[in-house]
Amino acid sequence: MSAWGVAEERARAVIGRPEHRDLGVVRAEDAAEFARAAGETSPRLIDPGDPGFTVHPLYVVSLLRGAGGADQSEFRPDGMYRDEVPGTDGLDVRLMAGGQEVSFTGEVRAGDRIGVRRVLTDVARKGSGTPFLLLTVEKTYTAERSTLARVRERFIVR
Amino acid sequence: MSAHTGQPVQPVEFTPHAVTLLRFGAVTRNAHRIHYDTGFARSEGLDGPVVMAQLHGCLMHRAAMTFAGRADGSWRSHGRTGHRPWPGSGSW
Repeated sequence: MSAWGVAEERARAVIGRPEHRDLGVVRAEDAAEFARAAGETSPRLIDPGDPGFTVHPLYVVSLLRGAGGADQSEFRPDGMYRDEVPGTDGLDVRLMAGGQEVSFTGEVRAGDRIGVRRVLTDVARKGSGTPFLLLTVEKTYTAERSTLARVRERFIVR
Repeated sequence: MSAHTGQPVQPVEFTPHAVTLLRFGAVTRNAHRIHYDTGFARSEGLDGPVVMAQLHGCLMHRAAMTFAGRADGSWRSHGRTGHRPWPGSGSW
């Protein structure tokens, strides 16, 4: 069976199985650095000392790992995390993000400890010429006090 | 504010470069080589390194906030889709 076929079989086997990830505590300085990297200039987004400072709403949903980072063993040769795309760990397949939809349900605040629940919800074969897999992963971001955001993201496996 | 379908939204001008992508990848801990390794990106069938979808989202956020007249305000929801603009390709 091809690596692509193995990925499909593995992915289908874990549809609906939740995973949990801890992104750690949101630091105002990190959120401000994110906003600066995105080209923002407003003090409310880039200066933690500003009285009106707010965490950029896309900061947390853009994080792939918390402040602790990852060990070398957690990466694929292409630089993606081995556990980022379900079913593809250790396989010689090409991966690419295929878009995201984000719904915000709460404001992220500095000091929030962020948890993520990830569930693979769909595996589909796509493409009329060169086929590819389209995986749909739904993620729920929470802090102790509330749910903060829901994300539906797709990955292309070729 | 009032808004209606078809109302124009002012475009956001932003020209990402290699340093932009490296910085954004670092703060989000995204090490995928298609975002900074030109040779690797081309081996994947791309013209060059690609801008992260999350950075697109930041530009959409900025456009929406400017449209709403609340450049720094909170908002409720949005959707976005990944595209393939290249660093240095001009406005978004």
